[in-house]
Amino acid sequence: MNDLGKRLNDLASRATTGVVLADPSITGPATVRSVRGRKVTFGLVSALAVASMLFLWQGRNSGTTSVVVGQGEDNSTGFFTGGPCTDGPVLELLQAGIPTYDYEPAGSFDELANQSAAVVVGQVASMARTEVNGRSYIEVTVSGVFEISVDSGADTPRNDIEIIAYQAQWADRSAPDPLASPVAVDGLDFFGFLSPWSGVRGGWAPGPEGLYVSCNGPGLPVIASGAGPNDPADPGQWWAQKAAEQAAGQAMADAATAAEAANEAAEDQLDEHPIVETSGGFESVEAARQTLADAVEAEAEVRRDANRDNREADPVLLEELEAARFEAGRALWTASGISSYRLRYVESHPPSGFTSLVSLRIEDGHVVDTEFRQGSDEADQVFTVDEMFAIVASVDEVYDVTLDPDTGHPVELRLDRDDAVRGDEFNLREIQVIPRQDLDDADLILQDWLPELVPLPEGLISLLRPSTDVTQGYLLHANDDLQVFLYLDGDEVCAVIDPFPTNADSTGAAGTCRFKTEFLANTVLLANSVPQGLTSYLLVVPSPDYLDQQWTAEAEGGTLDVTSWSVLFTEDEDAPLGQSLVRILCECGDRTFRLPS
Amino acid sequence: MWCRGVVQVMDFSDFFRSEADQLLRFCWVLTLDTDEAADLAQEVMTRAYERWDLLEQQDQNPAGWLRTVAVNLSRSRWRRVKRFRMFVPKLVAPPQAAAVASDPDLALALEALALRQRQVIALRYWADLPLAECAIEMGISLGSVKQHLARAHRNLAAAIDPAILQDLVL
Repeated sequence: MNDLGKRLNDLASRATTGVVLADPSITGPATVRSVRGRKVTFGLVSALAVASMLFLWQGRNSGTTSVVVGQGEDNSTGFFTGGPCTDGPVLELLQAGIPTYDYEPAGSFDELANQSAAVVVGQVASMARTEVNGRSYIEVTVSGVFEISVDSGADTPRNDIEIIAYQAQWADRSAPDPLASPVAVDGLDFFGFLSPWSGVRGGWAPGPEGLYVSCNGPGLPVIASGAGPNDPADPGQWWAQKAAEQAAGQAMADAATAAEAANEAAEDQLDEHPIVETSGGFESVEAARQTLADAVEAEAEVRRDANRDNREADPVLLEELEAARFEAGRALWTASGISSYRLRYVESHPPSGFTSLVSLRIEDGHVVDTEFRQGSDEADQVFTVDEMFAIVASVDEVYDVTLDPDTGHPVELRLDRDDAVRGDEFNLREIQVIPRQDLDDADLILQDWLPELVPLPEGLISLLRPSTDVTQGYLLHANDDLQVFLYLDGDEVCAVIDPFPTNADSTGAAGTCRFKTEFLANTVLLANSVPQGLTSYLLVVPSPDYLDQQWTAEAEGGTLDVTSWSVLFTEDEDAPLGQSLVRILCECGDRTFRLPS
Repeated sequence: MWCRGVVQVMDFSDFFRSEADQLLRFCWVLTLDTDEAADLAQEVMTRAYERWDLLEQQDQNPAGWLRTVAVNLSRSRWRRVKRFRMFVPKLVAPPQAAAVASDPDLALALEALALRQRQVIALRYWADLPLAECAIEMGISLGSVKQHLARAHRNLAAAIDPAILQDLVL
């Protein structure tokens, strides 16, 4: 062992001084685990198992009566003598006798479950008192036993559990023992917290207050609480409560597992490319991205489970998960390190109808340019992404927050500033963030790809003047009817045709514009379906990556003209104006374009 | 009649006595938490007892089996801890390693390692295994072991005497 090994060993030795493991060959595995505080792992059960277990128990029981095992009365009146189940007499029968041992009841169902080797449900077939080695027991013969311990993730038939027995001596010499002979019963279900006990026939005994029975029929009384003061008296209710916790626990466990798997996948990816240095924070962005994905999934899982079970999701849990998701989004945004970007969003105030289409240029976190789309309202206040996060944290009510999975920024917010004021609800939606670096990269790609810059026709320049000062563009296509131009306007790419369709009310023209990155990423610029006289034009401009792919058209009549720069379809002159009779298609590798969509 | 020849069959209790403390310390290096380590080691030993017939008959390496199971179980336990850290951070106690006063630098450095890195450190330097055996016991490739070890070295180097790491051969 080298020096590091010795130091590790020294640390470990000091940290574990006084800790002694139990030898399972002496104590037995089950005992050893319980000594170390074995927990019934409710959080790891599958939701399916939970549902089936609930069905198993609740489907057969419309009421539950608890029996305090061994804490019997020697009251001989009303004893059940067999046949169809009736609750009161059955209970008295099961309590007929005096316990001959001391015990300390569990303080809760959880504790009871922890102390038990198996939590089971089944049917009681008969009851009888027996004597073994001078001690008196009630033996409950059972059938159809299933263990609802959740370790296995499914209900497990327990054919080995046929008799449950507990000590109870018949001490009333003035009355005959009602269990002197076996008493058969129909329709009696039980819920048992059992532990193996070699001292009794059958080998299983219920824990103190660990056997519950129920006859079919609603509203059976609960004669004693089997658990702590805060526990439901009915173990079926307790189990239902567990089911909700299990579903939430499972969602969280799945999220954590998915996070680990994704982190490891990212790490393995790095392993395969050791040349990639991660000092730029790749790992932290990946981790933050995965954390957000996990948070989204955890929340969705809880909602799905609630929907499936036809119940409301736990609001407290949901609030925690929403908060976790929001913080994960903010962390991802911070980790992404995007401080210069273009930001577009629509702000709307539903009560007033106010709608503002906002376009911002943000440098180093500060707004340096603000535009409101023509025709939209102008908002008094605009928001950067950081300010969006801040306002979410400050408003009284957050109705909905949707976050971008890649960078964490909000995509849609529905907020209420002050829940005491009516009419101040507002939404930010269609939030679009384009990092400055991406735009610069896109610009380089486009400059390399576009044809020679040419002057735009004078008439078109005049028409475009209200929306842009552009005077030059890129001629993509020309035929006898029209010319197709692209032009760059700031961070956007726009397409326009000349002659531009106008009428007596026209005040100008505007191209159909997309962010340069959007054009490249989405690969297709759909300019418009433009009425031109009696002819409509559908213009599609493939972006560079897909330009050389096979573009086809489905059309009823008309002609298709495919150039190296655009796909242009001239619709049948006899077709009704504005009616699209064409679908332009491209099976472009892993992408399929079908336009108009 | 079948005879098991000259193979010396070890009684589980003997095995337990010889390995329990080692396993406990190994588990502590994995978890850096005494209670977690004790639970983990107890679970591993219990599983070993339940499978003892197979372990001894296959004449394999029961001690290696213990470490492999401990590594695997520590991952699921780590998941649980991580889950709670994610959602209930205020309930997580401060790292116990920080309280280990005998070698606080190393304890804190270990705490800062990713689980995989800590596992490979435990196997390589505490259990003194060759890299190939580390890979087998962790169930990953030799290349991945080297990657994890290299990263662990980088992280440890900032916290402990670099001279110690210079002697270590990857």
